[in-house]
Amino acid sequence: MSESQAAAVPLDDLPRRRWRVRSPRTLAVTLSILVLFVVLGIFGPQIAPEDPYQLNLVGRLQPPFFQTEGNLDHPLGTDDLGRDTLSRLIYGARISLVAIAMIIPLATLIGSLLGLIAGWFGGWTSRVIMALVDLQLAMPGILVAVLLAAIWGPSLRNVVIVLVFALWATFARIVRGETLALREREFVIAARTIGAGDIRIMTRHILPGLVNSIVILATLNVATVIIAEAGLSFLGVGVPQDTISWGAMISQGRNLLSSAWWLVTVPGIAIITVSLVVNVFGDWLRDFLDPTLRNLQ
Amino acid sequence: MIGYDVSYSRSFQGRETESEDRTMSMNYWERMRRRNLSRRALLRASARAGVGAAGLALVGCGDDDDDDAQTQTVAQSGDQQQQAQPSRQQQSEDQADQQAQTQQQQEQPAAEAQAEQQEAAPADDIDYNASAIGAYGAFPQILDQGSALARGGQSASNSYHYAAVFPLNPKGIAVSGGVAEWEFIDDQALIVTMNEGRTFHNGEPITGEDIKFTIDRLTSKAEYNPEYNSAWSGELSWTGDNQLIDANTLRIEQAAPSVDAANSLAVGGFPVFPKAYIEEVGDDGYGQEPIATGPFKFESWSPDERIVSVRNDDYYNGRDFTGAPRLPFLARFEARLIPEIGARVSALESGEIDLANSIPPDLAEPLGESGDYNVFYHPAQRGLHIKLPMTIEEDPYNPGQPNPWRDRRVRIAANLAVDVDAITQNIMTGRENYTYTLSAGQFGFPEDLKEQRWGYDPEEARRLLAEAGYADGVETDLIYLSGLYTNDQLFMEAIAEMWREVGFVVNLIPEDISKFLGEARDKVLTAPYLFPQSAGFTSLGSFAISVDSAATYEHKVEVLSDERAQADQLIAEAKTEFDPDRRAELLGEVVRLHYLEASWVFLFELVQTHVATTRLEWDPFFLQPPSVELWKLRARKT
Repeated sequence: MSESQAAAVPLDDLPRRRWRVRSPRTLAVTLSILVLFVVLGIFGPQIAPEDPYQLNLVGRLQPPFFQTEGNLDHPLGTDDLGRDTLSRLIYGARISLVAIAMIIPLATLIGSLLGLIAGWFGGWTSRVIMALVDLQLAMPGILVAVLLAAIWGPSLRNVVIVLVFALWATFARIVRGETLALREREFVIAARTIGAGDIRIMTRHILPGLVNSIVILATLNVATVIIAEAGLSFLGVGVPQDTISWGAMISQGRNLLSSAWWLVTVPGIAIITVSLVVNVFGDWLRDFLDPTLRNLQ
Repeated sequence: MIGYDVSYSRSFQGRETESEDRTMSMNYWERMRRRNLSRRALLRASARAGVGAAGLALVGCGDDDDDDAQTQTVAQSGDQQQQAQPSRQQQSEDQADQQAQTQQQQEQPAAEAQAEQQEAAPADDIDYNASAIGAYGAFPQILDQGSALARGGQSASNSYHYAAVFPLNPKGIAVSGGVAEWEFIDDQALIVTMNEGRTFHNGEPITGEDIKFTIDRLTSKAEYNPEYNSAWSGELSWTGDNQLIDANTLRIEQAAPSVDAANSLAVGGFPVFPKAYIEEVGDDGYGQEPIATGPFKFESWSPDERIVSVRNDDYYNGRDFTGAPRLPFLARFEARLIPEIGARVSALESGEIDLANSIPPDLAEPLGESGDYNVFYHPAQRGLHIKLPMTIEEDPYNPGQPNPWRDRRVRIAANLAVDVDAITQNIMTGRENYTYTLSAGQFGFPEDLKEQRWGYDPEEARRLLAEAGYADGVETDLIYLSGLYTNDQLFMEAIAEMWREVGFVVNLIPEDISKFLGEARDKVLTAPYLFPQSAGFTSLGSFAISVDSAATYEHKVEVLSDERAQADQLIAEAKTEFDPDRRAELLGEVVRLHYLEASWVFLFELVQTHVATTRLEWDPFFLQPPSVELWKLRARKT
């Protein structure tokens, strides 16, 4: 690494980056939790100890096993209909995973495509697209969610539409900026000189240079999707009431926080943990994919 | 027989329990408070609280969908008189006899209630200058009790600003001593004679002209606005022309002889309107600043925030009156809108309010057990049931296929699938009675029907579905009014799951009340829905609202079964049957037919739970009060 490259990294950031990037233990823990989350989401029905919908009205509101009244039959306790909290937590991971699987690719595709077009063509095309970006950023997603819930009722479809709508603009803005920088580079000018068309230059020369940024941005937005899906479900405008999600679990337990703390705390911890590890992983990925930062290690 | 007694209202303050039991029954935070904490335990608890709070903060800060107050279902429109008119020739004599019986019926319970009241709070221990603040989950949109827009939050304001033409006894039967007296002079008219000294809140005397105006307004016949959107037209459908005989005497013609005539002017919340004032300020002005006749006077309100009322010290029935309502104990009452249940409880615990309405038992019971609060269990005589779409020919989910709900076996399976006792014992207060109709306490209920109750038998439910050709399940939506009644979301989730267990494919849909009521009145609903119909004190009006096929709240009606047609005929016959025994028999037959046909999924009679500071006491006057009776709420001296 040259001296000039090292100087490009703000000195204040160095200790923080070192913590994130240089600790294999942190990375191992992060990856383990992420893998666990994905496995739970995919194989939830096979892993869950009980049917998460199974009622047990007599055994409702049992606390986790480590409390006096708790037991290992329901390690994380039961909810106000006697359903096993651990099993519901595992099933709840599926909704988050499905949301991520649908929202991130869609938002990435739409935002990146529009950002690439805006950055490459410039002019009125760029102005129109960026006006749309500004319009979207000025519009509160929660209102759109409430509107859609009023029209169609709560559903995962609403969550997908609202969050794709909310996230594409970030991708468009970042990709446009990167495209503007890349299109002035020598290899692009050379390609244009030998007669390459717009589509070819955009797909063969510009896009590969954007991949790192897009991947990093998509990863960092995973946490946003998890939190936003939970928030929308908490508000009753996300997934339907009888679909298990972490946000809905918190919503259902919020009135019993004083007597059954685990109903809110357990899914709350799950949301925080997964969001945190996704962010840590995103940071690591950014550092890993950026040759400047990778060399810093 | 009426299924509840006033002892349901109870205080936990003086409850004697072993300290160990009490410790076990305390909530988590209470136990934490009373335990000698180690530093580690304290840190652990703090961490739990912190993580919980962080989780909440991450995902948002609460919605407003827990609108927990009740809608005033057309207020006890079926409240009927026991006094009857057996035949046209003997009508007057029989009416007199009936009135005497009525008087007898009301005297004893009223005396008992009064004795209990004196025992509960000696007069010198009551603070007659006290004010109280109560929180509700919903508010009316306007304060004009005659308008349909006043429905939707009846516990707040409208039921205590207004008093009906005639007062009621504890069984909900009209008695003398109100704004006026009544008399049937022949089989076609009711004579209403004004009592002296009755005034509106502004001090103006209540006249026969005001009563005439009230009836005209509520039947959309008042000259100033014949387009008035009345919420009471159903209750007054028996009225024909009415004319003033003199300033204090009104003759109301009966368009059709009705056993409900006098009682329909006595049901809870029935208004008496000041003609001159309304003609001066108009409907909109009146809805913002009402002048009424009830035990509390309107003082001010901020829509969707608070309604402030003060005692009407000129109220014509004092505290020694045997009927209801009476002069209140509280000098001032402020109703606040706090839709979120948790926020209502927090407001109570912080001392911001004195009374929190409609609190789920899981939250109310620990508060009562703490000794710092009184918990009021309030049997509301509302038979909760799921109305089934049996009047539609085609299956809305499989066009071209027959509607599965028209098959009695499917309806029986839906009943057998639901473990009502488990729900009432574990989710609700445990005080709820199973309902066979609107209420097992209603007039004409055939007691022997209890022996034929649909029990809980999921195996048999599965067998019946298979036998009916639905072994692969019956697809259906299941609609309920979100947050309207205590724990409704919880027990509806339980019911949906119990249905799924036997083979129904259920999509549970919580709906907003205004949307739901509009759809129900327009008869466009095609899915089963939860309905909480008040039984009133007899049956007729409530049947007209909820049971017969032309009911206000019925599904889309395309075709009737023979049994529904028969029930319709029996109800029509009962409406003009003046012999009480025969009427009871007819209504009993309707109930039996309705139950054995499994026309609904029969659930339970609701018991509402309210929590107040120990300063406030309430022992219900009505055996099944429509809400906390504010005129009977007392504050002890502190």
